[in-house]
Amino acid sequence: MMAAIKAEFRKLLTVRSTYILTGFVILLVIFVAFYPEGWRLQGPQLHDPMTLTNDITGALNVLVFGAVIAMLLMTHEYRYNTIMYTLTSSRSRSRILWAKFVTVSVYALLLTTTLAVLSPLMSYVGVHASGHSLAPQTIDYGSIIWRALFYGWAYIMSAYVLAALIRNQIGAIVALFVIPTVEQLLSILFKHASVYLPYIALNAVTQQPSPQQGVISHGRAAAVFGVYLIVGWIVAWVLFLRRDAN
Amino acid sequence: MIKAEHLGKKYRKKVAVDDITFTAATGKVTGFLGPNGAGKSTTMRLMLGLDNGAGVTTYDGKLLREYVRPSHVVGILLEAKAFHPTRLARRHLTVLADAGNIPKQRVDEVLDIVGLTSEAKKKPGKFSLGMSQRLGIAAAILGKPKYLILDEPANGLDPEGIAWLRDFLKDYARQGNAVFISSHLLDEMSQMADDVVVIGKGKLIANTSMKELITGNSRSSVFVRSSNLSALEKAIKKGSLVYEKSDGGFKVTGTTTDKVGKLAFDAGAPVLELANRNASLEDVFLELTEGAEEFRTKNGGGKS
Repeated sequence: MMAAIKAEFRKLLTVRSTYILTGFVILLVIFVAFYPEGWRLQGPQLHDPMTLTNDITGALNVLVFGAVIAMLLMTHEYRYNTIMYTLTSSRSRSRILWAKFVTVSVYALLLTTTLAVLSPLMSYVGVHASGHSLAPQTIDYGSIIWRALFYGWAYIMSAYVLAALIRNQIGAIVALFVIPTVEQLLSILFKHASVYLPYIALNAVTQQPSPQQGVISHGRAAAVFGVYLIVGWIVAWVLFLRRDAN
Repeated sequence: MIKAEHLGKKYRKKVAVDDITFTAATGKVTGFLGPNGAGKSTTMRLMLGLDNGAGVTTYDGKLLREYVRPSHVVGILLEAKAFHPTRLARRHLTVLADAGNIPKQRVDEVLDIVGLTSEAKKKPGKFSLGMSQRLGIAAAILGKPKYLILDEPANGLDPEGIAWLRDFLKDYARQGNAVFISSHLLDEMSQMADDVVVIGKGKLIANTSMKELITGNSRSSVFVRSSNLSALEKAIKKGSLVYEKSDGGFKVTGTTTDKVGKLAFDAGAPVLELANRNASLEDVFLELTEGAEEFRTKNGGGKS
């Protein structure tokens, strides 16, 4: 298992896309947090005790690029047919899937932590660099830490599960964008029950959904998305064991 | 020994591989022949557990998944361009080494063996087909496996590369390993393979030694020429042999030079020339796979 995990990390760290997309995400968060969310912050926003908390949850929106990296870890195997080497190097297909799971989890948590630290920090620096100061901030550390980490991990993991199910690179990336869009359309139909749709539930872990989509606690929202993730993971696992490797 | 038993694979209603059983012995190169679409690649994938289908393949009596380190048992090359195009050649092999618990220094060794040391830090996406094949061969031998399963490894190699591959694989087999290799280069295969497995339309046609395959073929014959052709012809007729006039002598099929020589001697016909005329592997292949081609040119594409 350790050999498989090591190989997966090396795969992740030896392709350009990992560095390009991760670098882009970090630079984007630094810029947005420092300039529009820091330097240019004015008026009532400076007096909002939740500004830094909102910076953290806001920064998580760019995790879509991290999700794409997780997808590439799986879909590159099929696109470039390296899956045949991967599968014949291990005694069991399950080990390979779990090795990728561990790799994606570590990457997701590291990226989420980096963004969650950088965003409020750069915002704070930006505000002070412009000669202003923020009102005393109310930060519920326990809550924001688990919610940010869960959101980052679960969102990137959902992308990995989609990639394992679809296997086609373009198809998987399109699905990652299309599913949340379809959910927004479905929310017109489901109204208050919309918070039980997967990505609306996941968003509710960090931000309250619009009142029309229903009300749900952060913990319950995490549980709802967790159930979707587990079901998706089980289906992906079974298919990974049964499908031909091409 | 590789023992593939009752391999089978269906795609909806189409049978790609139909109950194929064969062996590939250690110490030998086993050629795997068949027309396009015969099911060679699918068979190889089934042997490795990459495709789900019927049958089992054992390596020294054990399934591949029963080995703790499968990379040390079987090395594969199923597709030349099976690599991430921007992951450097050396890193590509390092990933495989990590996955197979293979020491890093082996990466440099195999790069040296296949002659890619100078290209180690280049992106394989820019490699020619021949260089890609060499990288694939390097990947296959990375774990010093006892078994090599190679699908068309000579494709794209230049003559020097093909000669190198032939010598390398024969040598690899001689060290007590088994090489199972498919190729469309029949001339090359006839020089390289000790045994041969022939399939057509997903079915096994032959699993025998290369020598038997060629000498046992109807196109193999004995050529004999004499200064007394009439006496020789009578003797051949008397011996109930099938023959035809050819090149100022007789082409006799289904016999040996010993028999024909004795007949001529007994008949008092002085022999000027007596030789085996074996069919080429191409002749045998075309004869064996006649009607088993998935794709056929308008005029048949084969020799008459």
